[in-house]
Amino acid sequence: MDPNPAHPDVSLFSSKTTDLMDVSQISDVPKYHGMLARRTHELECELWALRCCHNAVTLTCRLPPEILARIFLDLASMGLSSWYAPNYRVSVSWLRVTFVCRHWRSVALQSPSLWSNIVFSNTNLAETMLTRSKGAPLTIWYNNVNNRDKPSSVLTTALSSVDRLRSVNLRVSPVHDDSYIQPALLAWAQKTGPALTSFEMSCMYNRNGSLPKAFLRASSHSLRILSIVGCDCTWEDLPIGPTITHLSLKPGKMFSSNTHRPTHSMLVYSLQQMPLL
Amino acid sequence: MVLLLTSDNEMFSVAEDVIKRSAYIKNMLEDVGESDLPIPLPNVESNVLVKILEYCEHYRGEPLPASDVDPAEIGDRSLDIADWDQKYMAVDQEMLFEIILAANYLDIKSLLDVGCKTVAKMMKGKSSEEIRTLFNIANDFTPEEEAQIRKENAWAECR
Repeated sequence: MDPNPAHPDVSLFSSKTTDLMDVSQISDVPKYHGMLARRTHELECELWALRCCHNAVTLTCRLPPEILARIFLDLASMGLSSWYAPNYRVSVSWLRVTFVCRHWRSVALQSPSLWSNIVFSNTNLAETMLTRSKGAPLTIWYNNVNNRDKPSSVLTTALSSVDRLRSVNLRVSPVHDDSYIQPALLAWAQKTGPALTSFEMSCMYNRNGSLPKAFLRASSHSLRILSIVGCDCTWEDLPIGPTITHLSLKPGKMFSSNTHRPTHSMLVYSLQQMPLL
Repeated sequence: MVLLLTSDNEMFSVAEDVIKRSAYIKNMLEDVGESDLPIPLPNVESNVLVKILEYCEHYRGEPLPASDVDPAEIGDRSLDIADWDQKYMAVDQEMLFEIILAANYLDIKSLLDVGCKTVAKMMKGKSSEEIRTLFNIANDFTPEEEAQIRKENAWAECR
């Protein structure tokens, strides 16, 4: 019969425990409480060790860590699709795998790629992800429209990691964001970012954000996806290059005046520079 | 034909074009050349090999998937599972994990990919407690670790 914690069978207890259960002779209560606390701690350690043994032979613990990490990556990838749903927000419910057991947590914490999709719904989370991603290429998912994500210096830090940026997705109300995004965008104009393959930025409510001149130019040979919506930018400042496969430009101030629009020959020349489009 | 010897000493005779979906066997055949000796598979039991061969047979003749997608990269690959693969993976957990281990050992990338996605889909939308129940895992965190985890748990619930 299974032991019943409400009516335990004392005959099954260890002598160390039963010795402590005779309360009739106790005169020094604080000392007795101390002994009970020590015994409780010993038993907790035993329980913990038994739970570790239980987990050591479970099916998932038999998987090599790199396979378990790959399963976590697949689960995390499933959360990315919600960015393209109406609320433009990446789900991080995959974080729950780090709360399952010590082994899973250890595997997750040693997989920098798992942490490389930085989200900003919580500043501490963003900071933790940035730290745990170590040197892995980064993808930024930031949407502060209707205060969904919180602007913070972590965003500037992440965007300033130019060498590590693989993909940047920004959906912003420019007035609120300038102090966190603009310094990083300005820095991009001077630095090389060979890893950046995708840049998507939209400024909402027709409040045009401005992009620095020649911004992203250093990434023009690695960018595959470029999408700019509602931002102030001239045609000649666009980081157009030979690797572009997807180009999406929607009017903000951009092209609203003749000075921003490309001439016919500029347009033809640009298209020639993007053979994979 | 290629002879395969499983860990429980069962011999299988398999068409070369079927088993070459395994990069491990393919490389071995290329290195060793034709031989009457069976290839020992000490990490694969016969019931699992039967299942693996069912997969290889189904995809016989189809081109091997491109291996240029880095599994460590997140977000760049499709997470869809083909209908046939879903039915193929509708097995008990023990077999599912054995398939994954065998696919890893035999280096059958597409099968490993489907196996990992299947397990990930089983976890999708579940709480950590539900995941523990699903895979019979005990909560082995110390109280100190639990305190840190409770804090981080709130991040996962951020909407």
